[in-house]
Amino acid sequence: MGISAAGQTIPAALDFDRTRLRIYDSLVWPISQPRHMTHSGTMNFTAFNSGGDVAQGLAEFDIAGGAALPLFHWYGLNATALNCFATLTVEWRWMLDQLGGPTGADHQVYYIGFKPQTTNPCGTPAGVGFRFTDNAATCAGIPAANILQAYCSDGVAASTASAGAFQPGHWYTTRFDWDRSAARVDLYADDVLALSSVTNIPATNQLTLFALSAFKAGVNFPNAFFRIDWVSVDGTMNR
Amino acid sequence: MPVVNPITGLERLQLRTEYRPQSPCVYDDFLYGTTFGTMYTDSWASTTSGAGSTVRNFGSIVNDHPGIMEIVSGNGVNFAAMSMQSAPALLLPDGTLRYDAIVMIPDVSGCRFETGIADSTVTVNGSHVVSFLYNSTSGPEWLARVVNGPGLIHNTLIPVVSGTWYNLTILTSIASAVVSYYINDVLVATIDSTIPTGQAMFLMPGRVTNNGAGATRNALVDLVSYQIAFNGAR
Repeated sequence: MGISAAGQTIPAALDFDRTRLRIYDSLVWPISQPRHMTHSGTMNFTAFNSGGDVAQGLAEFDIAGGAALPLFHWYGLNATALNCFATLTVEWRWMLDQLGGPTGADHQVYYIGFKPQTTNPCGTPAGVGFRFTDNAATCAGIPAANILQAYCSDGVAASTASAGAFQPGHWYTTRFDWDRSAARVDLYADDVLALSSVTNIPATNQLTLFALSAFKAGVNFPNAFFRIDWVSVDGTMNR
Repeated sequence: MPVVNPITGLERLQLRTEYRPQSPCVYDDFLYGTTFGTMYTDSWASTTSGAGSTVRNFGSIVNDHPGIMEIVSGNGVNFAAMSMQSAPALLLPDGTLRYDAIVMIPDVSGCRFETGIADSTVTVNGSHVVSFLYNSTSGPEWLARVVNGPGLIHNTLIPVVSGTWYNLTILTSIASAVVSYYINDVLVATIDSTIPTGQAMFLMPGRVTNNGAGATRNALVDLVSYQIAFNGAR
């Protein structure tokens, strides 16, 4: 569709699709950091283009070891909630090279998906996504270390399921589907259904779409890097 | 897989001026932002007049309307707020320009709301304007407004109902010397004179003016889109 140039006839009615929202970022960018990404904490964005099929346009977060800080990085879709969309599919391709090992009470936890901007990914923050930790004893809500957990919570209680052992260096494609009429969230890891939930859904919580939210308590962690290949958001609205 | 503007099919992310020789486009679903209240600073300018007037992110969740800009006037007479294109000024193209907006006025009483393309300031009605206008002092309907020095206002006869979302479309064609107005995709007005050809104007997602005192007035803008089709290659 489109609009005509000179000599147009005036249509009596228009066919205009306002019902679709699609955001896709392959993270191929010529500027200092990916469009619509911002960050806080001590991680740095790096444009990672070393060549090869898996390295064309990546956002790399270099995560310095030896620091005990809440580290947050997020993708710029904010001021929204699942209920804003009749349907919504969000998908990422990402990889973390190593998770490190806990020492004493130290732990680190990573979260990929929707959740409020500044909450610790441990416990039961409102959100829909995946998370994993190296020390389940000090990161409440994740029953075992080094497990990729599919997660859905309204901030009060959570629906969770294991998506298998977390694999450092593995390129994951994680995704969730939201259907408002069914009031259901489905989470997939590498195209395999990990969790389908109709309870504990953050339908009205204001959430931020995170490319990555990481939290480290303790200083005994090695340097690591987290890479994101692409992010896709595809929603429909009755408007 | 490209980033696709759902309206144009062009590749894009939210708000971007696309450099295509014959089809530049601006599209904003007002999603971008990392904290409330800062989402428009990159792309839209806001100007206000009177205490309490502001342009901000609408902080409530509304089904089917993700990302909403709220334009609020303070509680004094003629207090006003305006969201407009930062830069540069825009001339109506020789070909066509299509403007789309999804808007809602929560309470129409005492409110003046205008959206479209204009050289208005926050306190002065522009002398070159192509817009939809609701003005509580003029009547209950949407007005189609074209101004080039003197102006024409055409009553669309479509009433503005408090709390109702409207899909508004303006189609200008300089070559055909006509401006067409659509509400919810239905043609409601055409104006074929006083078209502001060759005049510098700005994209104006919205301007809210308080017609009364004692309460603030506001309007919500969920989406704006400007598409241009030039007559010839450049």
